[in-house]
Amino acid sequence: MTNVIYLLKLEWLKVKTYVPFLVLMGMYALLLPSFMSVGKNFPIPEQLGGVNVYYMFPAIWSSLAYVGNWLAYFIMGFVGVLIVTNEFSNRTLRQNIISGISRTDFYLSKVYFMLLISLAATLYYAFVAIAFGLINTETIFASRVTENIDFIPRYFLMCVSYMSMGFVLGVLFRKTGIALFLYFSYIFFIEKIIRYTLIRKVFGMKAMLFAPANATSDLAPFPIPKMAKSFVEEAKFQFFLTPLEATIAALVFTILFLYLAYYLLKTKDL
Amino acid sequence: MKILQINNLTKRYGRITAVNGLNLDVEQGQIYGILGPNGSGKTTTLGIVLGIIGADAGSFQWFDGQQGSGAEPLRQVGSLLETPNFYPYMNALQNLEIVAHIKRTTNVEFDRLLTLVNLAHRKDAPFKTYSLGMKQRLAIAATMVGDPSVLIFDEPTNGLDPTGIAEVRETILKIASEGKTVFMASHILDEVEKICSHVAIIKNGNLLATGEVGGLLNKDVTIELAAQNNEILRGLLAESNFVTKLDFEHNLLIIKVKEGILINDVSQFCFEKGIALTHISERKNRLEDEFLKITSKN
Repeated sequence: MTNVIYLLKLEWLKVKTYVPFLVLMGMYALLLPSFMSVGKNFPIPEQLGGVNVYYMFPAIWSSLAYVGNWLAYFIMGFVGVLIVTNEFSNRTLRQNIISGISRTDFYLSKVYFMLLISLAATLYYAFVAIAFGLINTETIFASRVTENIDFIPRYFLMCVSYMSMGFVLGVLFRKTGIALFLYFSYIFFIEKIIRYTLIRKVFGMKAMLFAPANATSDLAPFPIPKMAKSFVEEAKFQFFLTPLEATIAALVFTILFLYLAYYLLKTKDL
Repeated sequence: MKILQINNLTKRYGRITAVNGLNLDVEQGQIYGILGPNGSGKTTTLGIVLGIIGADAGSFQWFDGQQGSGAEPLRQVGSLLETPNFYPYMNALQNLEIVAHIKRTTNVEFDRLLTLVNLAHRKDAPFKTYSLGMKQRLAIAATMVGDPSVLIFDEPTNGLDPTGIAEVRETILKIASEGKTVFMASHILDEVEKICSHVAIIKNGNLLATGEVGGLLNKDVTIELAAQNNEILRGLLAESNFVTKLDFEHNLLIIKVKEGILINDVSQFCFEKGIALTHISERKNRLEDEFLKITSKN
């Protein structure tokens, strides 16, 4: 435990004056409730339950998680890339090692830090969800409040997963620009192209969903209203992984990415 | 105690062998220089013993293994490898705090260190605003965090102006005079000759010669002299019993003399023979000549 605190302190010394990091964290804190509020203006017809449904318990857990999904994709991945490419481009990784930190400890300092940031982001998500729920739900039943709180651990995994994707690309390519470009374009379209062409053709419709970014994204999918859900089920077409499938897939990919990053940091010349 | 022991170290980059079966021992209190032309494997060697480059074969050990292995012994070593590497957005103090944190050392007198390298007045400015000389000075301050007993410098005067070079050399000599061990790489002979007590000459990753800086030098005395008429002078010297070798070099007679013969003995001899010398001076055997001799043979 002392080593965890020691390594987290090292990371804190590095980021506490690092403006891009602070700006990204500030953006997350500001945009999560802002985007959620903006959604209130969406013209969802009363027949479909109206827009307010999404702001009440228990739906707020799901709808805010979906907003957070977009933010985490941008911000957590960005941070995952930056915390390591920054060390490569300033050659401070070399200097850290020369000063006497082991490669394993350097790696662990980054992993612990990503876990901490994800934890903070998740606690903030829970806080904002409860705040929105309390304001917008007329009659509050404890059972309704806690109905969907399994979103909390999945939200945490989602943050860690996006970060580890950015992190492994950062370790692999070392340059901030290249790693960021690949991270965003991989999730935005490269993975989709691979899924719809290669994976669908070779392994079929269902397998297509088990790709790293898609599985991560499905941890907090687009909140489909109940009516639409039954329609989708009738069509026998699966848009999203079930929460359990997504959790297992995202967990496996995250561990794989973090292990790859460890292997590279441990064995490559710096 | 052996500060650093390098055994049979080898590193290849594709077909190029950067370091080839290198063996070195650095003892406590030495100022040990690795001398070699650019690309001879100096930085690679330092990179390996500092843990940032993996060796293909061979091994090394710090402090006879008494300070543990892996990263632990490096906390007792202050190193400056190539360029100064710091977080550009942090100021001098914050950067040194990170070094201190990694070295797990407390009670560092940051202000004293920054004053020592003449950066106290800029300690609150971000590193990215520093001039190259200031960056280098901060890097030297960083090597002294935690008061390590061993210091490593790679081309410490690279890119500095003459004043900066003189300052850095003085600093290194001062550090060494406190009984610390210094291990440095340089391609500048003059630098090694002026600073180091021991030297290893490497070329293309191969160790060519090693020993005390004085020991690598030839002990013969070389004297250059000239007179109104060099031919007469030459005849005279050729008949003397103390000259071992006689050459002409651009209007100058270059002679080597027997051990124990000093420059004033030669001057006296000429004077007694009735020849007024227009020029006489002793040529120091410089490491440069030895270095060229050693490297050209291979």
